[in-house]
Amino acid sequence: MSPENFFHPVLKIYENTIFIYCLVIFAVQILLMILARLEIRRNVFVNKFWDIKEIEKSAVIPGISVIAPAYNESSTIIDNVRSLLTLYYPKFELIIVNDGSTDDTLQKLIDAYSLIEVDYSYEPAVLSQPIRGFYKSTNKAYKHLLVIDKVNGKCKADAINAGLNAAVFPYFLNTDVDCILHRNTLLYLIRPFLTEQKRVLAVGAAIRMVNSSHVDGGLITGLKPPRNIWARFQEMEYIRAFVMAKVGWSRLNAVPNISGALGLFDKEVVLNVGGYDPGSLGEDMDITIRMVKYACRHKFDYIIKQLPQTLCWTEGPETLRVLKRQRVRWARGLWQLFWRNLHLLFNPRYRATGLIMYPYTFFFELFAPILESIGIIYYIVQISSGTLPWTNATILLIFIYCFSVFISTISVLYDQLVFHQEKYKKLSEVIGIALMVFIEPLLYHPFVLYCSLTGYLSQCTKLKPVWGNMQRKGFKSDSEPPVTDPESSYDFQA
Amino acid sequence: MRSYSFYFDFLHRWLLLFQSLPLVIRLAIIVISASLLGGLIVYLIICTHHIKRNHYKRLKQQILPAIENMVLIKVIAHPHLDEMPAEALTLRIQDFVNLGFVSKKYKRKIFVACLRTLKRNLKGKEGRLIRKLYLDLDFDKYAFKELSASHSYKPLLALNELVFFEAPDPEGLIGRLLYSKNKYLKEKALEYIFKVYKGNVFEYFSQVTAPFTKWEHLHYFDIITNRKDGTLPEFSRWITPPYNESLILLCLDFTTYYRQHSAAPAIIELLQQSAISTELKCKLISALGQLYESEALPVLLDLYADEKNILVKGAILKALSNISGNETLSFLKQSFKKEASPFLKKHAARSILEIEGPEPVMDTLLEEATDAEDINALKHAMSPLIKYY
Repeated sequence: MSPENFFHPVLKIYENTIFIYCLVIFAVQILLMILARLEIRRNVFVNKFWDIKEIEKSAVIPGISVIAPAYNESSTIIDNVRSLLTLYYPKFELIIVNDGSTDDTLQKLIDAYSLIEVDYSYEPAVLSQPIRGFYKSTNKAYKHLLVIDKVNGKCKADAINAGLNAAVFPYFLNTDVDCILHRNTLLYLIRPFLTEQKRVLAVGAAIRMVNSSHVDGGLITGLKPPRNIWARFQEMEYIRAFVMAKVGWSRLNAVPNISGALGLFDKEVVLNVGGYDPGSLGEDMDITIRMVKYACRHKFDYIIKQLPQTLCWTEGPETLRVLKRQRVRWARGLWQLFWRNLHLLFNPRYRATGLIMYPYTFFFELFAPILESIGIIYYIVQISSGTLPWTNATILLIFIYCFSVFISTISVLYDQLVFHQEKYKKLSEVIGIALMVFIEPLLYHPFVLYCSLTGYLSQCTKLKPVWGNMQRKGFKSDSEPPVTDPESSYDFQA
Repeated sequence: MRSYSFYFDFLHRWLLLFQSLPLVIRLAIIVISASLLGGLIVYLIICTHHIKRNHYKRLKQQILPAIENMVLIKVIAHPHLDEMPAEALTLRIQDFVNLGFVSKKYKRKIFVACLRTLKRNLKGKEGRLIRKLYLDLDFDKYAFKELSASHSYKPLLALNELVFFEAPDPEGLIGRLLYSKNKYLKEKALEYIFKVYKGNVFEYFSQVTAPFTKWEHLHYFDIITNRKDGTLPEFSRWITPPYNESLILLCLDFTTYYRQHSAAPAIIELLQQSAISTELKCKLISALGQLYESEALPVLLDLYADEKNILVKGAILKALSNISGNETLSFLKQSFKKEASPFLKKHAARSILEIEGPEPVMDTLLEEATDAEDINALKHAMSPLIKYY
């Protein structure tokens, strides 16, 4: 048998397999699209008849601890804390965890909020680096604020664990100190915990880019789409991930993760699973999976919900260097998590997560960058050997391109259907975002693919992880020029 | 005819070409065509959605000032508002009808939304007068009509409106919705009963089989405690095992809110049963504390000795702050010294502080304390900056 005769059927099988692989991805995307639409329809309706403000009047409402770690946030910390203190909820505490900042973050907080060190007794239920001190404000206006100063744990998980140990309420919100939250965030997020008969483990909501928007005193005063092209791509990506994919999975009760930037959790369950894992590179997905495993092992019905509303705005990386570092870490986290939890694969014990979400994410998201790269190499080999059937190859490329454009456009539409009053006011701004879907597969996707492969490779070669010290440019203020902070903050996984 | 045959031939040739292509390519072409068409439709929807929204916004901006102005003059600034009850006042309905916003559905909806906002923000007589305006304009009749709509969401929105304006239901249409399969409808109908029905609404408690959600619990508690009429039942009736846990939890809140000391024996009896959840146990203990029930002291002390759950133990220490006496104080001091958990130490210290005040007991304890954890717990309890939850 000549090599040509041997390779021809092998290549045929490969081509067909890839085609079927694409069709499965497309089928699941269509399914998620339909499920997301149903969920959004219900959500829009519930918001119409359910007056969110009714909660605030209640005398017996459950309290929420808002935990926000801060690392070297000196330039923005005062406004950020002020923004979090303006959250509208009758019973909450704000815990800022100063994770061993090397700048004057703590001193700025002490000065701005009249803090003094207090003796604070607490039960260390989960592990974290040692605490150096607890601070409370002598000013009654900031009575909800508690600042914890601790030794740097080199990850957000450790800081959240420290906050969890001191938190007094049954629910806690995990957020980043530099995130700008919608004023009614807590009211929206607590609702599923109150209205569902089953136990709700966690609730997340959509997150968007605040780059180019006007922010004054930690509050958004003018919402604008990002001008920087990379931030704009991320905006598009977030819309697709948060408003469509996750909401669709939520309908199946199989949300892959509740983002580290915004998620309300049942504290008891998080403590029972041992809190956040400082060794995990994707701590938000890790905690979600461990909570699901806990619920399934203890055989109780649970819900993990993703709301389609945008309740959180964050600053996305605007340079390729920072973006690459973030995405490489995400890819490493994904790789680490999936190999750690292989027992979930097709395991009926873990319900929809084990049977649908996990296998899909494993085969069609984790492996997609690898298969895609093989496909590119295959194309190159065929072109160089002159054996590429140009017409068919072009049709197949257009096929993938058109479908991805279609799915992204649908996401923009869904985004317009929910919570439109908080979105961009002009049609040109909406269309501007929607048009990004045409260049995203050509420009942004190859970059993300490269980052994923780099991440997998570094995880396999056990390279030391670099924790995402996200470079923040600062916000465009009505009164102040943007500030540049060279090294601050954690990043989170979308 | 010739032109039609031309198109027909053209399509036929394309169809033949399509059929001759490999299956993979045929499927790809179908997906491409569907995606392009779908994408185009989506763009159209985005544009029309935006245009419709702006149109509605403009319409609202045109209508709202006229409605608000009229309501301000004719309702809020009613000349006889201070002289008689809102329900007895007469409103000149024709003035509102003449605005032309009553007969057209979409304008009426803006009108009702405006009244809702005003009623939400205005309490007392003004709020009741806005309700009267809603009823006098017969807006409730439209809402009652929508109750029987086949669309799944319309009846619920209509019911929500009727509950908000507390519209009377002489035909008992809403009462029937208590048996609806739609959980939202059922929940709203029950809210209506608690809010609007005169007479003994508590009889419904005896029929409850499905557990309440936490939201129902909060909401019904607020509605019932805000009712001004009717006599209150003995809530201890429902603090017994045959009733579901969520109802017992709700009744415990009522018991403490209305200070029904007669419920103490029922609470103690239920507390002594082994098969109750931690949440219920903590709530029962907390209720005894809030009722200042000194008779419950031996029961609580016995329970503390046998209990392993730290949350229940914490609830007992917290409840003891309301049951003062030498026995309580010595027990709390002993617990403070004996317990290893900072959580329990903190609760014990706080309860001692509640009973005796900061001096002299706390100072003595502080002097006696040698362990760093004890000193920390005491200082935590004594700190005026740390709010105790």
